[in-house]
Amino acid sequence: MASRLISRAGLYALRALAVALSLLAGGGAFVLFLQFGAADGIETLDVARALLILISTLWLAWGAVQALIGLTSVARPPVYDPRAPIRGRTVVLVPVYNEDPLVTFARIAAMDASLSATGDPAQVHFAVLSDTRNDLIAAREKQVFAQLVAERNGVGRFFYRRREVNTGKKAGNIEDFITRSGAAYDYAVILDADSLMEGHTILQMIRRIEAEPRLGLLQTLPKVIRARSRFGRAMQFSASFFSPVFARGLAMMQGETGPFWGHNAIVRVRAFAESCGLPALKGKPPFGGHVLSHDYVEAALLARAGWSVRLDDDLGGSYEEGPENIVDHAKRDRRWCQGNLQHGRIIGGPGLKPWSRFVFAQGIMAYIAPLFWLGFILASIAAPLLAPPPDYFPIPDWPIPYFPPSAASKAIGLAIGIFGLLLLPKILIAARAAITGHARQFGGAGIAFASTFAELALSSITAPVLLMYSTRSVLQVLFGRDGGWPTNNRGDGTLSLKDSFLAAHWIVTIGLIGLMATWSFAPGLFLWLLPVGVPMVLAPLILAWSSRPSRSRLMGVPAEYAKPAVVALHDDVLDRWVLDAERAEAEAARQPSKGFAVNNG
Amino acid sequence: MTAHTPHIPALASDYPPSAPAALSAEDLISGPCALPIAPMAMPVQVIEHRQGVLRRLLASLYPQAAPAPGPGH
Repeated sequence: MASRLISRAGLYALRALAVALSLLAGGGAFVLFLQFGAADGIETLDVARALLILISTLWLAWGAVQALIGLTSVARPPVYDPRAPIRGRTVVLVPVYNEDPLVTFARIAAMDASLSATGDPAQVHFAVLSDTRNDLIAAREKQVFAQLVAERNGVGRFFYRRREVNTGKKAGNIEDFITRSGAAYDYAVILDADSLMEGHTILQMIRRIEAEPRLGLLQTLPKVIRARSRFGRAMQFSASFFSPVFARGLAMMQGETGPFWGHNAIVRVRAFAESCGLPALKGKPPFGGHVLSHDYVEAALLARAGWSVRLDDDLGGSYEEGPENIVDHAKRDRRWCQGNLQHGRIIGGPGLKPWSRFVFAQGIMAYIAPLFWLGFILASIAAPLLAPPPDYFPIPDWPIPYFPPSAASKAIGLAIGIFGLLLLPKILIAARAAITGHARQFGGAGIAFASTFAELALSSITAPVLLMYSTRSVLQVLFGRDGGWPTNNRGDGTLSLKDSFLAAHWIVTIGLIGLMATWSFAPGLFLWLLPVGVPMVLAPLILAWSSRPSRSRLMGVPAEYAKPAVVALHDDVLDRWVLDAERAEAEAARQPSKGFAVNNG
Repeated sequence: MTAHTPHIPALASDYPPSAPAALSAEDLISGPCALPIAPMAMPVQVIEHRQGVLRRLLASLYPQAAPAPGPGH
């Protein structure tokens, strides 16, 4: 979309400005820290710490600049006819992997009902691509699929297949579909099992890709819905309130080399087939083997082949669900971490566009950035041990001692700068929402501001814990441990204190050791490190507390104030199907010899 | 049939409306609800160099044999 708004020269200028601003912030932090270190003489460790803070600040600044750029414009639709008749045939792909079939297939029923409600005669089919390994769940999938087909009169429109071997995981699942059935369709909407899209949105995606023959992939900006826990609702609020602005900044900078996030997107099947056949990487996992974070690679390959990849952030009606607790978030993040670090093997791939390489670098940096912060903290604790003792009498025979000037003001300035990079974008987003009236969808300006500060507080508390999980993930990958393909936990994610302790006891240990080491070796740093150390020591409590249901008015999102039509449809279908299943179970219990009764039409 | 895609079997019109009532879940999945047979090639892409950066760098430093003369030379 950026290509429509700004010229190529403007695009490069914008990218250059963003990089320059980030470099300026990183360079400023570097110089300020060197001045701070120079107060008692510059040591090698001071330079190392300054470099670590340069990289860390650069990364923070990049995020902040993205948001600032995003604040300068609003999402607008491209030029196309939103009522044009749809000529091509589309399939909605729903890959599933040990998911609850009742919930997942009810989403398909809801999307199909939502499509029917538009009255549009477009041909849109649904294909369930099962990679489920659990035979019991697979049997249930078939039963619920039959129920879905019967209820939606879906013969000839709904398809189901289960792979014997799940080679290539999700990317292999999609590839299997295309090589088997791709020629039957012009476009494929790729979803995750927890994706939900309004019928109107699906139709507009088709019209947009049909109107732009060079468009290979169109990505929507999915909003997180149905979060119940404190952690989940904070993520949901963040995705709904802050992310669109960050995404706007991204959309403005990426031009036609946009992102693919693996779901809630439409692809031109021919473009995808021609460009996105993924080989297994040389060597063994975690760096070799099948490409884990395939979506970034597919976007890069489409762009390499000359197709346009676009993020249409103006399109609403695109939803997904998120993890309800920090442990599930960390599990998902472990998989993404391995996938993003694996891109280190692809970043130099032949013929890729520079922006695609930059996107790979960003993805890698997202996971290794915590290591730089951790390195900085460790180096700061160690610095007093390695520093030479202060020389109060640098001039021989001079009787009056010399006290080096305090550089505390520089350290405070640096801290304010770094916190500014973290806080300012979100506060500005809230301010703009209050001014434009957008905040009304989030309960009004007052509530939106209070929610912003609550989210900032919660993310400050959880950040050190997430930093430790990220660090562990990176180290596991670097030491060659494959994370596999764990099933996503969906549904109620409340954690008991015992489970929380089991998941986080190592963080408590590291936090305690870190605080004790700071107290012993660098007492001057103790207060500075409390915001990091205390959440680590209290990690089990934070895990358990943040997984509890949220009853606050804060962090409300539009989907909570006014339920989207497709979400309401999903609720209706699911309620009915759950009742049907309970009745069938009761029936089966009365007649055990007949086994599990299922309505299969 | 669309302007873009050929006609494929396994569309609703190919099966009588009463088909689902008569079919079990297994029959549906292996019959009218099996994926349409419409293969499309998906060639494997090259996404990493055959050699690592260091090897490629070193290889570029070594003198290369001159290419064989083409026909007509």
